[in-house]
Amino acid sequence: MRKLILPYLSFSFFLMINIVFWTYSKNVQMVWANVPQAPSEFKATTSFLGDRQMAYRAYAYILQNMGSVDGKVLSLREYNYESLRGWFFLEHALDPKSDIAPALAAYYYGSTKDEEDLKYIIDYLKVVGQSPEGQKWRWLGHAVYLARHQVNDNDLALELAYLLADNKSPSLASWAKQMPVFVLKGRGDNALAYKIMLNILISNVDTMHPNEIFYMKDYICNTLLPTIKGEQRPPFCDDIQ
Amino acid sequence: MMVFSLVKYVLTAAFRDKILIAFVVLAAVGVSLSMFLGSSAMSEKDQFSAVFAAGTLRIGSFVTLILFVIFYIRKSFETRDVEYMLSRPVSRLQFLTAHSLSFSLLAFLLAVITTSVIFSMPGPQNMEGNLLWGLSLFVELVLVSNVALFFSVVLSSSVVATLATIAFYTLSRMIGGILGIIAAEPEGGAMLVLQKIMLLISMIIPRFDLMGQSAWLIYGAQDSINWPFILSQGLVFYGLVFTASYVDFKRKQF
Repeated sequence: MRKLILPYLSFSFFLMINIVFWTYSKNVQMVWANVPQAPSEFKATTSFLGDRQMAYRAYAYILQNMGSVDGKVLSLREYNYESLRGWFFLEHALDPKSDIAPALAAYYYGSTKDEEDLKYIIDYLKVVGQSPEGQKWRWLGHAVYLARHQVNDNDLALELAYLLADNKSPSLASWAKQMPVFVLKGRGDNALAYKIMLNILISNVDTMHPNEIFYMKDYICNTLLPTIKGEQRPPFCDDIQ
Repeated sequence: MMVFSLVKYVLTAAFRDKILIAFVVLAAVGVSLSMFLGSSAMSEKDQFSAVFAAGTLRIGSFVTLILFVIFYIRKSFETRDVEYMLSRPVSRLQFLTAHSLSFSLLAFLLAVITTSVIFSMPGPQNMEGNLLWGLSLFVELVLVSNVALFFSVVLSSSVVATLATIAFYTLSRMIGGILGIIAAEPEGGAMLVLQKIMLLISMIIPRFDLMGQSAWLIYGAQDSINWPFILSQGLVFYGLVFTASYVDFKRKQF
């Protein structure tokens, strides 16, 4: 029994030391150093042993949870959006087909009320929205929404709306082609908006759904024309109440 | 005939080591974790799960295989099993061929388990891409198991042989990026010498970065990478590493 006294004593001593150390360490929390700079494409891919898709998904997961660790949830105001833009462009380089990174940018990080921060998101959505993959043009549509309604920059919204309307995707929706009209209307350029809308109607009347044609006629006759002085009402307005 | 007896002997040792059971358990844990992580993604949950599971199982199968190969071969040397077998009517070439074949069969089993698990996961998966990924994983595992065989014959320490195999695997997966940098940014002076050295090294390093891409599981295979490319690279490099092992084994004095 005597032989065990020293081992027991030393074990008890180190147990006590551990408990003393714990009283200090339990209150030490990791300090979040904000969004780090995005790595280069090479470093990002190499970190996942050359598997670009694995790197893309892992970084998307990190982006989704960034800042919300250790039970903390940060306000979007606290994020460095300039660095975030770098991460989103890295994601775009790793996988231009997936929609998870644009969705995070548009619906999560795009919820910030800071107009300067939103411009970084719009920068990214502008590039993604011009990708010919699938229905990526929808992200450009979201960029127009952010520019017009959140940043209140109608010039930027119009520039993006023209890019959207020029998209050659066969899946491009009618509302996307008409987007410059809505932005011009918002700017007060009603005459130009009317001309563009009329032109779209005339050019596509043979291919569009009757509901869409009716909507465009209604928009021209009841929304645009009442705001333009001296413009002659086209004959189809007689059918629209 | 002797070769097949040896293959049976090695495979029996592998099953006794319970590597298949251990790998199935590892696969179950890896897939469960991947599905858990994937389910917490904002969207494309199934794609996240498939990619995470594919990455985890690829590394898991690689580690399982090389640990078995290296520790089995080193133990055979240390317990003088190799000398005993070579005292029987077995040539050194037969001995090496049997071991290479056995490890390749194990690679096949691990690749089949992994591919089946990934394919059975929920979500829209690409059949052609999945099969190509499975073939690619099989070729990758055959190559790394034979590299592990080479290092365990050449090096006398199991730990050093394991580290060397891991280093080789890492370099093989990075070499594409390194070659890309060399091609995009030609440098002068000392960097030029380093670039030339890397180019020389890349001649005897397989392009694993072009193989087993998780993106194939979701979007299908790329046009530039197809099964003839994967099999050709496998055959070319297999020949190199097998003959290198043979040269060293032939020179060994017991």
